[in-house]
Amino acid sequence: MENYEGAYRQRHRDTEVLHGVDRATAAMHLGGCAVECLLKAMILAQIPNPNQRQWHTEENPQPHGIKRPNHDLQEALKQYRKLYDRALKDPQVLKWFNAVEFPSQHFIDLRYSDTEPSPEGYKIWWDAYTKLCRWLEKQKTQL
Amino acid sequence: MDRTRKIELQRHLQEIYCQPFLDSGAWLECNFSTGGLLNVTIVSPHFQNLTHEECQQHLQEHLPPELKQKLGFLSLYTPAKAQDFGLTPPLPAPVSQPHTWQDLAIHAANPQNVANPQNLVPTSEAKTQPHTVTFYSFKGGVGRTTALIHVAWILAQRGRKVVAVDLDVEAPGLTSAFPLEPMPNLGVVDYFYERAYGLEGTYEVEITDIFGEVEIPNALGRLFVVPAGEMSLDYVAKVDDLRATTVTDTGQSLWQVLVEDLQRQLAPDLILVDSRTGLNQWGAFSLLQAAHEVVIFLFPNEQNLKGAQILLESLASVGTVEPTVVFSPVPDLTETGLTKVRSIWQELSPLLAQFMPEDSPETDLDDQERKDEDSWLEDPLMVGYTPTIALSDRYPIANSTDYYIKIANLLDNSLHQEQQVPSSTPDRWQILESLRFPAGNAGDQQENLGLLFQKTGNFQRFLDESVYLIRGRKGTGKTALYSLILKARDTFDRLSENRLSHYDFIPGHGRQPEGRLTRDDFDSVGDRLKTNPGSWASFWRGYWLLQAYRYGHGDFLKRLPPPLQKFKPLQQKLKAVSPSGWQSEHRDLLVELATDSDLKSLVLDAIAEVNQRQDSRVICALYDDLDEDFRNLDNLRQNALTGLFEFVQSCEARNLSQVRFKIFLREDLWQKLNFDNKSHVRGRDLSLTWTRADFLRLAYRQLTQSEALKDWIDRVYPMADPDRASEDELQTALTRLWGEKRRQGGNAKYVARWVYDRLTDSSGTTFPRSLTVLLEQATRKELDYQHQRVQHPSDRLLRSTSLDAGLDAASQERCEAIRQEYPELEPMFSRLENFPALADPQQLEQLWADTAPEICPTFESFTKLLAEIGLAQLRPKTSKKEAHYRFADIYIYGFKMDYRGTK
Repeated sequence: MENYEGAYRQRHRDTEVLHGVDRATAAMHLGGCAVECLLKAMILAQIPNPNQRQWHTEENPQPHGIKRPNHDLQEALKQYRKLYDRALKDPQVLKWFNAVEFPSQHFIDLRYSDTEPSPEGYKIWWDAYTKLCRWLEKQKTQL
Repeated sequence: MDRTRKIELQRHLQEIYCQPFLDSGAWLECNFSTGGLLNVTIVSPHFQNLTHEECQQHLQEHLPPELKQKLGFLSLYTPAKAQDFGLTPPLPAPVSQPHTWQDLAIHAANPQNVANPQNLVPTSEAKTQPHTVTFYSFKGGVGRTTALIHVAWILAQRGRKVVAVDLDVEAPGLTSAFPLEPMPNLGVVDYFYERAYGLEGTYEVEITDIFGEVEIPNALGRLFVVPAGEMSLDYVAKVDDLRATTVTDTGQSLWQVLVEDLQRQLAPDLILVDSRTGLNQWGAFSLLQAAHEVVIFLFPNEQNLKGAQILLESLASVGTVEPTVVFSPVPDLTETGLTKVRSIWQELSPLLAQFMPEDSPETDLDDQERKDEDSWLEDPLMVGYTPTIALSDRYPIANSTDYYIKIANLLDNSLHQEQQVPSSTPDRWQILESLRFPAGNAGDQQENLGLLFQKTGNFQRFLDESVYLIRGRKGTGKTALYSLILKARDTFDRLSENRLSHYDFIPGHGRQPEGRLTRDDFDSVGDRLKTNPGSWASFWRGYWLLQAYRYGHGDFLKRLPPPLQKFKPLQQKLKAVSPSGWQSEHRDLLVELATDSDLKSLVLDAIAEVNQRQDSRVICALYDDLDEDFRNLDNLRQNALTGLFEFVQSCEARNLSQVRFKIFLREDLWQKLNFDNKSHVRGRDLSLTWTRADFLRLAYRQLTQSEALKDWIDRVYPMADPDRASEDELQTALTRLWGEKRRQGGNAKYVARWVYDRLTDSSGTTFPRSLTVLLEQATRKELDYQHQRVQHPSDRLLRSTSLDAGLDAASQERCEAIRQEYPELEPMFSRLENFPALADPQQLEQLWADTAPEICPTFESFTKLLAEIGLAQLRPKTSKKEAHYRFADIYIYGFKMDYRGTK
């Protein structure tokens, strides 16, 4: 079974390493994946009963009915209504989400991209990414 | 952004991004945050070859300006990309029920996703659980728990099995008011905690460990109480750790688990929940997960009003919990205090009116008008401040239950409705198909007349021997009474308790098995009386004698003993015509008896002779159909009717005590009649009126001709004699037919009252014939639903839309009747289509000027006429609305008037 929490930490470290060696496009791609992992971890963690912390599938139905979200961050957030609503209450957070999900195109599509962003664009992205991670980490302790 | 605009926006975006690409898998979803931000996911081929920025820009161009600054998440994809990401369209209704305040707020913020609150269907568990009522308040100290205790007590005394559950877990108090036997040392918190965090199959707290019984002396029912738990450090820790939204291993909510256990152990009729105050997780739990119905207690001030408004608005968006508002405690029950309560009540009423799953407000003129007028508001439910209650440690307080009886009645009624759907409910379609209705006109009814005749409140006055004029509007049951006496004498005697058993009734004029004189006959009689020295009084005298002779009361005329030989010429005339049927020879005979001076005198004497020979028996002649059978031309009707009354009065003057009359006459004809001694009729007349109870009796009597329906009603509301039943009892029995209320909500109109009001004209006259038409058409309409894929109501046979169709048919029938009654007003009737049902005086004056100045020389006389005939009535000016004329509902639909009223 996936360890989303662990995967987040690993991808976050990878992103920091890539950031340190100016591999901007790869950093933006992996940064998006890191946030996606963190969201998935948080969605499962909201389920009170630890035995039910699994995605709902036809083969393995769960009482909560939460299915595994894919790469769309809004779709993922909707699975965790409280977090979704909290994100919508802070315009800054919305900006960060938007920047991380769509740096120039959708973060998942950057794996096929052969261009690097401008230094200014990348700076904005990095700022949004780090703040979004910090914000999400904080929510983990308060939801 | 209001509800309508949100729905419109979603439709607008669908037109742009989805409808042109329906085959390509286009879809969208809009969500508004509670703060008003718009979040959208749009999947559309429109985004092909566009960058993310271009997609966003395109969307923004189609948004209203105020939303451009309020954008949240925008997910804009092509179908291929959406497939990559595994995105799927949102599921259509039914939408799941909210469980938390946040869920509720989000629901309320997104009406475009729940366009029809009825789509929100409760889970099957919720439907089958015992009726559950939550007592809720925003603020504490308003007497919520005290009210629950008293209401539970009253209902148990009446025979209900009630379970009261203390969900005020953070400040429990229910048990301190009651002595419980046994007193449990565990409560609902201990029970929930185990089921939330323990392993299934290892639970130690059983349902039987967490309730005790309250011993109520002489109670017909029982009262059980489930306390929150015994206050201890352990309790505090459990409450803090417990999450109200926990789903158990079996996928059930904590509430569902509890209710299933209660049902298994106690099978209660009713569960009353004492809720936590305010916006607390346990408040949401008891309100949103547990309740079918919520009683909201609020102190009458602004602070509470705001809270109640938001709550009602949110609950309306969900539409599955029915609210009732109780003001408590009202410190000042004088006019000053009540004014304050009423002003808050008025603010809340439009919100309460939203709980209307079956009715559409714009088709209901009353609701339209209610919005504009203050006077419609009934007094709200209130609990006054009583020091004896406030200071007591133990409840209930004897003799302090008056305030709570009304709340108990309300819950009792809801329970009645719930219990109307037993598992053995017979096939509703079979019952509907078994319903039979009498012919539209009582006179055409041949069978079961006695069974279907309804004895109204003024029936006793009819039995008064001195009464000879029975007035009534067309359709008020005159002919039914006439026919009952002549065709079902046994039933009449039973209904009248043999008070007129010494009467021999004969048809003076009206429907008879052998036919009767026709309009043409009377035209001819009228012409011949004009040119002959006869009079209509003489005509009626001869007519009476002929009928008495035919019905065996003039036997002396057959044999004529020696002292009565003078009647020979009269005998010859009577014998010359056929003893049955009505041909021209009969008409000619009657004219001769009225015009030949010798015969006239003999008729007079013969009637006196009949009177003398009657011993103690009375011959009573009945007169009906005097409207239809006389044309209103050249004063024919006026002269004929005047003659009839002259004849009656002449018999009185001659002290013919064995000769009596009962004349059934249309009200308007009586009003127009002028003759010398008209005032002598005063006190000898009665006006046929139908009270609401009469009306309900008639409905009950007609409907229970169906054995299937009677059997179904009898299972819950057996009724020995509807004539002795109270209005409340009848109303309750008829809930099986049409439900209790038109729609959900504490202030919704009772169906029985709605039917009565709709079939009553603006002069207060009600038409039983219209009731028959309404029921017949409503049944037909309901049967149309049989094969339609719509949800059928489970608590009633006829849904509101079927009753609406019935009202429409009844209105058409009534309009036809009033057209026949007042043919001279036809130009006005034909102008009523699209005329406002709430008309201002200028509009009505124009109508008068265009259609009726020849009939009514002044506008005042015109409005007076409209009031008299029950078509429209003046509504005086109020603080919110100018004076206006309101047309009666019974005519609005049939004349196709504009029910939306004045602008």
